[in-house]
Amino acid sequence: MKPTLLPLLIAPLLVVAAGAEDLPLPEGSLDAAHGIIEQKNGNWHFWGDVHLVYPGVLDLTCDDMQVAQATDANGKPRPDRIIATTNVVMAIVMPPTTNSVTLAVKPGGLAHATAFQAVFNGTDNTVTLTGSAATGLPKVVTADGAFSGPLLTFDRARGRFVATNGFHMTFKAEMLKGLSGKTNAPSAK
Amino acid sequence: MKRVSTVQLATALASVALVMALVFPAGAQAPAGPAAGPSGFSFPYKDKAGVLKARFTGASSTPKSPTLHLVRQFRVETFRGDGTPELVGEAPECLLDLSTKDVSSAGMLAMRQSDGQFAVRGEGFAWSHESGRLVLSNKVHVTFRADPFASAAKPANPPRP
Repeated sequence: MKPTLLPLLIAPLLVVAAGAEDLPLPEGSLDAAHGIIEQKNGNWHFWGDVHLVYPGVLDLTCDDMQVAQATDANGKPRPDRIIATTNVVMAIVMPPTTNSVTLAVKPGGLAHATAFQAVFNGTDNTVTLTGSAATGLPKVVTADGAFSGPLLTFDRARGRFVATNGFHMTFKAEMLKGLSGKTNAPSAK
Repeated sequence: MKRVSTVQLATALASVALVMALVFPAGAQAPAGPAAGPSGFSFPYKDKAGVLKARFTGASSTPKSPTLHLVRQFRVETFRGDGTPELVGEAPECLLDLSTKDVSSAGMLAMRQSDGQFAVRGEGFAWSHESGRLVLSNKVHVTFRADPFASAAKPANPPRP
């Protein structure tokens, strides 16, 4: 089925680092009941009450997290794939400034996402949320609305959100106020 | 402040496994063997060029079998090629198998990067030299100063000033 683009609504959702260059780096943490670090294949596995916190950016809990590394052009390892599975709950803090038009997600606001699985793909810089029969569809909730769909993908490099196989969105009427009279700027030629 | 690249987290985590590999590199002698004694030991590990790569110390080493030693107040420090400190790992005690070069303990393992960018600790651990696997059995806690979800590539649309 043809993917649906929601560029204006959720565009900045996971552009989590915007505006961070002038801020001191906070200390992130990851807690888990158990963990395995594989030296030879570069895989890490944490499970049991996994809690990843990066203050001012992200707060994620899940039951299982696997990280697969790849080597970049400089020969340094980097996270190529981060898979958070089972009872995934994310609180994402929006950056204070963003270049994107925001409808449901405001700069500095908070987006709350739930899913069975969240996959960060470092190759194409996306985060894909999926559900399960037991947990239902993945869902993103903000102060002004919510949306869900079978496959929600945040394309972080392009700053847009893609919903595949349909989506459902609810929003507060007042969030549309102030939008009248606004038009998109003509594209540069 | 200059932004820390996301690869630093990966590098730091990989360093944990790396430092374990440095503890008992292939072909190297285990540190707690001949040099160990009741009054403690200090074992420098140098590469073939004679550059100090790591230093292992322990308050004491007690043989449990011909190949198994109980090391108390185990500490390992690793160094970069220019001699600056890189990682520090500490365990109140651990079992060292001289034949397999495996290290394990039911107690704590704490490792940290010297520049403060990364640290990990866990209660109960096992390092398998053969498989290159570090198992942290309980209470895993990692701290870092890098955005784990930030991409090395900049977003296509940078934020407005």
